[in-house]
Amino acid sequence: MRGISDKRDFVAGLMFTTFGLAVAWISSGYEIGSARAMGAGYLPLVLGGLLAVIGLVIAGAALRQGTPSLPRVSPRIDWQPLLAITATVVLFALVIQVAGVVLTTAAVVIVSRLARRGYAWWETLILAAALTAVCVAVFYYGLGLQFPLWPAFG
Amino acid sequence: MELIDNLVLGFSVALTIQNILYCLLGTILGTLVGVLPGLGPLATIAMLLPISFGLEPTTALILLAGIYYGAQYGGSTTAILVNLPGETSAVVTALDGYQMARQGRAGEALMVAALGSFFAGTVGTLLIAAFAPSLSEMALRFGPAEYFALMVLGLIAAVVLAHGSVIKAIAMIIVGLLLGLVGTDVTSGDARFTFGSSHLADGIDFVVVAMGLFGIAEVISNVAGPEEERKVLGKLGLWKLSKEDFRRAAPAAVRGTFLGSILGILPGGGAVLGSFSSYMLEKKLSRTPQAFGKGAIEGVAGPEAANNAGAQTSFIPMLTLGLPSNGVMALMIGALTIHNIQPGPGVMSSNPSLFWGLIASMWVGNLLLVILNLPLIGVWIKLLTVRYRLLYPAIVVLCCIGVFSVNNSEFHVLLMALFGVLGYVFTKLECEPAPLLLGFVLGPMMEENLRRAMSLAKGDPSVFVTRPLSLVLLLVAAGLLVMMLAPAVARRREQAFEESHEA
Amino acid sequence: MSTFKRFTRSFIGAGLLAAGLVAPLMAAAETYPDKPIRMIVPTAPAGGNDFMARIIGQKLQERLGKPVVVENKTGAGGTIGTDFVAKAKPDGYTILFGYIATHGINPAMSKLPYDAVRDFAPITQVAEAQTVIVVNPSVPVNSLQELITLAKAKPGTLNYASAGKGTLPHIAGELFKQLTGTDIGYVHYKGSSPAATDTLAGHTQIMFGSLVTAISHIKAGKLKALAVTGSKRSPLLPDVPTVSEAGLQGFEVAQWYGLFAPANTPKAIIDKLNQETIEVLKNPEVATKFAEQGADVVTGSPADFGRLVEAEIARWSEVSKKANITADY
Repeated sequence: MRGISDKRDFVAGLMFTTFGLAVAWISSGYEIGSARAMGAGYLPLVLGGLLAVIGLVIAGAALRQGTPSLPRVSPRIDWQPLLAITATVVLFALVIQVAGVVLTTAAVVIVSRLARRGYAWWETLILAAALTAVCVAVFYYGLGLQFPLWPAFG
Repeated sequence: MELIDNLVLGFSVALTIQNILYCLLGTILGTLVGVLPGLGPLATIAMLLPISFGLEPTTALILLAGIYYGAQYGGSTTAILVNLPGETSAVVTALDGYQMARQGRAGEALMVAALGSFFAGTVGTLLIAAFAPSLSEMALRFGPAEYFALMVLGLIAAVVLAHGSVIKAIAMIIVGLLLGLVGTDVTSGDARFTFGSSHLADGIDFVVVAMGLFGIAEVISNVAGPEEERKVLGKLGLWKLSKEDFRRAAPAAVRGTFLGSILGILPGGGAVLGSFSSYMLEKKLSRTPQAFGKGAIEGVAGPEAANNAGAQTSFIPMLTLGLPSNGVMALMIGALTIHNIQPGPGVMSSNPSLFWGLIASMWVGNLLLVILNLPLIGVWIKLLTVRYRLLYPAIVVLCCIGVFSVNNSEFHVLLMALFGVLGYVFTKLECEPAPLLLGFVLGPMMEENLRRAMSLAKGDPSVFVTRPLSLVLLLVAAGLLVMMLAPAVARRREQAFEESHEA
Repeated sequence: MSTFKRFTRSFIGAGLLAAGLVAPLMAAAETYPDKPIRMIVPTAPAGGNDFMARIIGQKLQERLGKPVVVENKTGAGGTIGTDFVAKAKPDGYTILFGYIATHGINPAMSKLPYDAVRDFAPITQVAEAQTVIVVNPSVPVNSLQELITLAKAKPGTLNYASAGKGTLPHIAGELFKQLTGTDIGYVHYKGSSPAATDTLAGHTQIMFGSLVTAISHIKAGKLKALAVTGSKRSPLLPDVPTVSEAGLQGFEVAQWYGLFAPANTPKAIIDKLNQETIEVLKNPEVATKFAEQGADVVTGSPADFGRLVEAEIARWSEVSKKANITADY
């Protein structure tokens, strides 16, 4: 019987192998050169290949070993926080230059609070207002960072 | 004695009311900005540079230097409190510092960081005062071959950063190396892995990777975790260093200071290795290496001291040779030229009051930092009592703004989102991100110096073993590798033996 | 409706439309500037370019009465910031502090997202900085001719340090090799500081570096200056000959800087910016500050600057073609 840790190592190994092969494949399109006069593709090709092999070793060991190590992290993927937080960051990137720091910060705080159910909406609004005020004071007025305060019209 | 005369001159400059005030201003600003992830000393100094135009050159430099080590210090605070390393050295501090914070020992972690930094700063300042010119000559012996050997040593050391599986750590280092290669290849000028985007031509910024893998990924995991697990963060412990803490931290800080000082002198980027090597050394020397990564106080004291010592000694190549060892030093050279002072071998004789005044002010600045930060520890800990559900939106916003400000680029923020997801996946697969980050930082330097050394030697690889310094470094690296693999091999044989015994 | 009527109507319509389009632009030129101007610097904060841009920006602001905000958009050897201005609205409110890399060398050797000539309206050149040929003191030569002789006697043994592919120190080195017929290797570094470091330490022997980087090392005797590459000697190094004095013709190389607006910016605005910038640069205080960065003030008409850009692109295209250098950003 295989334990949970093995499955995890198996997936990790496959991930490394895939990544290594992809890198090796892309870098084979670059100038390779020789060990004496290395081209741009030399090192990534070697490292990509090495990573692919190491990945196979990790995956292989996971298949063979019988003793599962104790899981330290729950293997379940929590989609809600994952999606909400990622969406928050993406939203920031998309709107900051267009909408300005005030609206962006407020929106970002509100979206980030969707990461978990059961947060009070009034708490979200107060938090959004407070963080927006702080960010505008510190980053716009204090440090003079290069983004607009409000959306530009016209 | 000449040294004493020089120091007296230095302190007579540094201790004028005006210079003390600007030093204080610099350290305060530096600490505050350093605490904000992503807004490192580079951004702050660049922003304040125009203000410094109007000041006397010595005062201007004192202000900028204050920001520099203030920000170093502030960066460690964020790493410890919320696991957000804004720069390379803080990655190491975050490893055990954040774990200490989770156990309610944030106060101790911050205090040991402050005291370790102060000690290292004092030693570093003395070193500069006594040996700056001779040390800078030594630094020039480091050619491409030596840097390559040093980077190899650093990469092998990176394995030690992981407390789980060794082979997965090696895989993560390679992933980091490969990520570091993204961008324009220095040697050939070819674009690699940029997928045709000019946003990737300069490679991926360290802050983007660190904030994604550490900051964002940690937020995702924490929000997903059960409420009580997150409450641990807010536990208010007594934050006095116990005798036991002190006994473990003090020697680590001394060793860290030593390592950091030496590596900081190298203008080609040795300073980044300081905190990593110190961590490795402590873990190897410790009788309880398994405690590392779970809140070992030596893992905070050593690297913090190394980091600060390196920050001090990295002034040596700048002041004595006019060579910047990092972006901040390049800015300072810019500030000096604006005041019509050419940093370089002549500064010490032509502007002794500037040279010695700056050195004396470094110590003053370090002292101010400790005075400033010890009381602040209480405030920071209060921050941890804020409920996580209120804290995490702030962390996310800070990460976004910080990463955006690095290059005023939305692209980098999107990239951070990607690394956040990746970091979460890594957590689930029990792959530790710290070795990846070290590979990421060292990879490009290693490749560049390897190819540079080969091209200088006309393709003759023997240059790495015929140059004595490079040979020594490579031998140390090989020894380390053997030491690391030996226990694993021994364990496997033991296991095999036991298994055959059972059978 | 008769053909004639239809014709008149469309004619008037087109006229009105054209007037409608042109009028605001003309009005814009008269009231220009009525809001802040962004000056994009495509290189890092606190570098030489940034410093000069900020001085000009500050003085322009005093003359124009509207803020001139300097913004650093760095990346890809200046390409990101330059491309940003190329695609900006041609209304005179976004201008570029360009230089030899963005409008001379990069267009000559790389495929770029912008066209250095067609996408820009030159405003004026603002400055020019000298380059100096230096060697490590261990190299047994005391003049440019001796260096050429040594390089010919021992081909392939000397190396010069380049600040990266396609930078001036690199391409100047290639031009030097082509003009002298010597065989000298190159080693690329990430920027001119590490390149200078290794030349200082003797890992590389030669560098075609900026005067401002090299001057303190020359004065301290850590680097030997063989020639400056301008048409006249530098006041900072009065004893060092120019390249043509040293017997090498056709090697005049200078780092130049200038302001650009996006193509199709109204001529009236370009002219206004040209005149105001020239006025700013007449200020002796500005000249002194530029001199500290190793740069001399050079100004001219928009057309002059346009010709310089085209001539430089042609020159460096030839050098990079001969040396077989290309790069992509």
